[in-house]
Amino acid sequence: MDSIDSRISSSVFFNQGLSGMSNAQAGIAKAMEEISSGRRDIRASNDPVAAASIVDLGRSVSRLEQYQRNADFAEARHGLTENALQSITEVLNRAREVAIQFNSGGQSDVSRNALRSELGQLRDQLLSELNTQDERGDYIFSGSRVKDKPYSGATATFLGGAAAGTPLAIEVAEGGRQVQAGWIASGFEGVLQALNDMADPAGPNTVDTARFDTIVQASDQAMLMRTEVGGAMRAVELARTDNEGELYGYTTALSSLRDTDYPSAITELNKHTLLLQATQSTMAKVQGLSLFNEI
Amino acid sequence: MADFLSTTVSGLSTVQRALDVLSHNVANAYTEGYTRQNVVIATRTPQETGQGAVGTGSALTDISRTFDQFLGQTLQGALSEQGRLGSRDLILGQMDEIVSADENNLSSRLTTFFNSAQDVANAPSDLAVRTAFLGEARTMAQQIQAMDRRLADVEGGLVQRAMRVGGEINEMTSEIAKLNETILDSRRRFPDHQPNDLLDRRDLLLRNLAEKVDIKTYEDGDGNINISIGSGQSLVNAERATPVGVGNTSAGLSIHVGNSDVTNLVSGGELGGLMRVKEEELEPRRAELGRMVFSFATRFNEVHGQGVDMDGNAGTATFFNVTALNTPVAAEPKVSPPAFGVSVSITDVTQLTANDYTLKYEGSQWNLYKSGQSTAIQSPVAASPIALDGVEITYAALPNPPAAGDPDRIAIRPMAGEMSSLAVNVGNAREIAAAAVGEGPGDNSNMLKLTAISTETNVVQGSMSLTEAFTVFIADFGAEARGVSVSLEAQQLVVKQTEDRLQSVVGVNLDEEAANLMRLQNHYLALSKSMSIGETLFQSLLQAAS
Repeated sequence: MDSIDSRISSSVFFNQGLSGMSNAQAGIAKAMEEISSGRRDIRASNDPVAAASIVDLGRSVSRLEQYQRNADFAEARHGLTENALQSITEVLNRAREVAIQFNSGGQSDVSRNALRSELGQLRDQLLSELNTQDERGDYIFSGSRVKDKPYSGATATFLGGAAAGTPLAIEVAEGGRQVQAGWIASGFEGVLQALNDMADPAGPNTVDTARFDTIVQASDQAMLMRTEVGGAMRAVELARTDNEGELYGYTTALSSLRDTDYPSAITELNKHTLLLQATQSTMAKVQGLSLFNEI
Repeated sequence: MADFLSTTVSGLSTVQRALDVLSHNVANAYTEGYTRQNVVIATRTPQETGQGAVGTGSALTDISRTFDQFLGQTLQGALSEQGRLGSRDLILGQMDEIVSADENNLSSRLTTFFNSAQDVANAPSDLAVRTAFLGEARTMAQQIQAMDRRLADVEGGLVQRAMRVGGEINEMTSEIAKLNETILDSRRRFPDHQPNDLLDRRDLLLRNLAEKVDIKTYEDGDGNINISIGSGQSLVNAERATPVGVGNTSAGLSIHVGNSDVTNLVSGGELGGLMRVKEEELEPRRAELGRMVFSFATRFNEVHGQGVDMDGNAGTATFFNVTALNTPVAAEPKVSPPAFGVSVSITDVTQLTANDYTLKYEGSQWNLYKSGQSTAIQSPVAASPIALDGVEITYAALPNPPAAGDPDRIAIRPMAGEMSSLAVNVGNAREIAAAAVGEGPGDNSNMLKLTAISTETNVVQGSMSLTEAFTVFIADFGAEARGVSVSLEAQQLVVKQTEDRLQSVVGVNLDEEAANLMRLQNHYLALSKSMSIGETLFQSLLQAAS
């Protein structure tokens, strides 16, 4: 108020005290709310830039967290596939050893039958690994035709000759970054057939080169698939690290925008408490000061 | 000696009268609108004698009120602006709670939905995950419906409020008209004096009225206050008040004074603020949200229709229940009121805006208006069909002039109803088209395309992704809401300062009154003393004479 208004009406005095007190009380309520909730009251109407950033950051955080969940999922698939492929490799390695033994001199009918019997077990084991199912009972090596058994028997063709479609790909990071999470185990008909032939008690007495080669080739194919799975696992690891870095940045930014800054909130609380006390005592004093008391 | 006594008595009665006025001031120290009253004291007519003019005492000639016409007018204008900003701020604040509330806004709802779609992409053959996704989709649709319903509630509340304000305005104008009559009557009977308390009451009513609606006032030669709004439509003319009518039809709010439509002329005060915020903020922002939801759902439907479900069947292109493209709609709420075969269809999502349109019969022709523009975009309206911003408007025949009972105003809102009727049409989780054509149930190619919609550009008009469009919406809405709340705070300060200034001129200061009381007390004592001395002198004269 400038110097012209040297005359002040009593109602202005009263109203000023009143509005001073309600302002201080509003300040106390706001600070208390921030302190107890741990959140600053940010709305588009009081801080549009921060509110828009919170929308963006919140969405990014939520998406990244989903990518991390996707990565967990991809890792589980990789683990399952890697286990199956490892077993397949072991089976095929053992089959190669047995085949070499089978061809070595000095095998009696009895010992050969024992080897035939082991090859039969290896054939069943290989078949079982190729038909690996996940926790839902879906076949992991059937491409997109997860409900169809890849090899219905040792002499069957892969998926009965039908197309396997596209194997599963999972998005693990922003920008549509995908990793392979499913593999197609077609082409194992030859090795299954060879093992089946050798296990037959009426089968040939030596493993010919063609049959031996199918074992070696199948072994190579399994190795190649394992390499791919390993590559995909590393890709997930990299995506995970990237996501974590981004998540850290975003959550820090989000927290600095949204979370209560306790030192300043407590300072605000103290300031307004002091202000309220001062206004109250001033008002009491001013209202008591009246010339009417002197008459 | 008789002169001496009567002179003293005149002083005593003057002081008594002054005490009456003083106690009136003290009694009304906290009465709203009261202005301090002053006594005007003058000498009585002197007695001409040979020795000179002998004074005959004092008389109270008038009781005047202190008033500052200029500050009063300034305060009236400041209150109108405060009323306008106040109602704007109130509505924007309510909208803010709905559209930008942290963790509960459209963006976070969409993010949750897309995250759930990612889960399906991770395990496309998992029925449990698919079922969970359908649940999320339904929840999102319900939340969007609820958001729209809450915005509709804000609009309903706004309309109620505008009608209530209309009622308050009418109460005040009829009271002002009555006061005009009473004041004129008092002035005719006592031409030399002012009816101070009545004038205070009328000034207070004018200020309260200005807060409700922007008014123009002028005082006629008889001292009546006449009031007009809009472009000069009279609310109060001397002792006659004309009521304002706030009407609500499906085509929108309207304000009439008598027969004149002043809907577009009222922009100040609480009523003007409510009218403007409805058409400038509430309706377009709601249409904008509707456009985002519609664009998203339409794109989702399109991509969903390109895939195959778990059993290899083609996916439905109506996953979400939204109006299909190129389908004319001629019913509420899109066409309001439905008449003359007016219909609207959406032809191109990428061209779509949040604009609403209005067909109005004006003068001798039908004109077409676009929301946010005060001049017609087509005058007269072009031949049917009319292609505009990704929509097509058609009509059968617009009668010229409209017959009795025909509407003269039809609102066309292309996005209306899209949020309120959003629902998920797919009930069986197997029917989610996660796979590409020719793929088995383990394929997620189409699901990945569906999840990519959240960042795809050109889903919403303006080459923006859905997520960007929502951020821009929040920033833009927030800037407007923040601007209004800052202006309101500033305006409240202006009002307070103007009120304080006015009070410093017209208000009662109790200390001042107490000081005056002491003065009058001393004055009264002095006069009483004169009286008793006069009496003593008279007595001694009588004794001497006896």
